[in-house]
Amino acid sequence: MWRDERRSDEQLVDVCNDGDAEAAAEAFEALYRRHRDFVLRVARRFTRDRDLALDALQETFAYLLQKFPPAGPGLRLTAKLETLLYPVAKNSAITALRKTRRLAGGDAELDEMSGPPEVEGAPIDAALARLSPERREVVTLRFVDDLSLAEIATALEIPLGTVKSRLHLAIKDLRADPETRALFDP
Amino acid sequence: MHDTEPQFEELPDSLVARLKSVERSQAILDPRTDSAILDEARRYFLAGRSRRVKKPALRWALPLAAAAALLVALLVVQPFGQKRSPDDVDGSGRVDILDAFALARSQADRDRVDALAGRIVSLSPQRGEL
Repeated sequence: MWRDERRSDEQLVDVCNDGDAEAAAEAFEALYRRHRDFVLRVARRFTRDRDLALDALQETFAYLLQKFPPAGPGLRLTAKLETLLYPVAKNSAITALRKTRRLAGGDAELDEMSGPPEVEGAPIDAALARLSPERREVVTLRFVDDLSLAEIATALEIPLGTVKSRLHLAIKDLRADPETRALFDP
Repeated sequence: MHDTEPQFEELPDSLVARLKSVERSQAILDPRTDSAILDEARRYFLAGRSRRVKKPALRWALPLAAAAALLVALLVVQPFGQKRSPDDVDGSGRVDILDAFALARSQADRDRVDALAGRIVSLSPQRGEL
């Protein structure tokens, strides 16, 4: 049963790397409980579908599991675990969505797929939806997932300057959007 | 929230709160998925690694061995510095009639055996201890 909130991600990862079977399973469960909601949020963001998001969740943690021995060489955290999980969750979500689109006879582009949650009558969400996918992604990682600019750069594997530029332009768009303009100058 | 970074790219708090509430209100809870992932992890680790070593037996092994060694030392080994009497033929730590018998069995000089027996008889009445 999961019980340990005190150990850091680094400590839990170390146990997953080197601990005995039961300790490693317990540490993995702690990592899962800690990061499940983040992964689900990301997956839901790209699929907008509960079941596909759950599929992506399983894929993401299966990927993480395979990083550890015996199958994997072990994992060394050099940044926040979210920066590793984010691209995996995103790609798993997109893959899951593409499969269903192909089954349904379509193959839409990612840019058309990903978007903010659809909430009826929410003007802020409409303004967010009008952002380009790249700018929306940076805004969401920054303000919903609370990643730093450097962490966003790591998660997206893009230069820090690009993150700053996208964020700057996204905020500029939101300042200009009639739905959100008033929030900047109350 | 982002204290270590410049504030020039911040959103109004109300907008941030709205974004978070929309995304986080859609939390998905599915115990079956949790179980599937965690069961898989358990199988994965159990398949490729040793189980936890049962330590209680080992925990007692060392103290028990030490106690046994100490007991043997007390029964067999004589304390350092205690000089053994030349009359203590059988090495029992005391001089008694058994030493005379031991000496006799070793086919020693008859006079020496008699002398030892004499000394033993003349010792204190408490079993001939020196």
